[in-house]
Amino acid sequence: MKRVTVFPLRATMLLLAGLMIGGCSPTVKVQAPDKPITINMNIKIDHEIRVKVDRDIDNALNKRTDIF
Amino acid sequence: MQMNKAYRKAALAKTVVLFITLLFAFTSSAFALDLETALTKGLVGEVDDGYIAIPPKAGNEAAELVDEVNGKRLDVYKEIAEKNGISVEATGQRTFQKRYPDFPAGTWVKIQGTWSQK
Repeated sequence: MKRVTVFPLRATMLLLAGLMIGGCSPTVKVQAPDKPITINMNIKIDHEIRVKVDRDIDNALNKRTDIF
Repeated sequence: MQMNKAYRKAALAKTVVLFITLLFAFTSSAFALDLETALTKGLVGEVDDGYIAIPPKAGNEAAELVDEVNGKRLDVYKEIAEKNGISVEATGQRTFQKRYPDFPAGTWVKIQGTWSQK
């Protein structure tokens, strides 16, 4: 007889917990940002090219003192 | 005797060739001074596209030097541009930007179409 009264309580708690988790989970969802990543990569590549170009220019300036 | 004469002639020819070569070497090494002198004297100025040009009222003394230096600079810019996949123009402009702080005060510079003295 006792079990009959306990069971619905547990079931209710479980259901509530389930609802709470279920209710919370959508807010935790992370959406994959596609655009910012592309932009960041472009900036990185741009920066790398700049560093390389600057290094090549420095080399040329040191080597070709007759024209610079 | 005949052989000796021929040998002497060859030796003389060698000396002449060596002398001429040395003369050319000195002439081309003096070229470095020429650009510097021309810049110091204000006969040429640096343009923001990475080349040199004759500033206003400077006369045409350095016209040949301008062509020669600019031709050689173009070759250098082309090489760097091709290597990095960027335009020759951007390479020239970047070179000017990088060099500008090292220009001595008084150097003629042409920035965005306007001549001025640094």
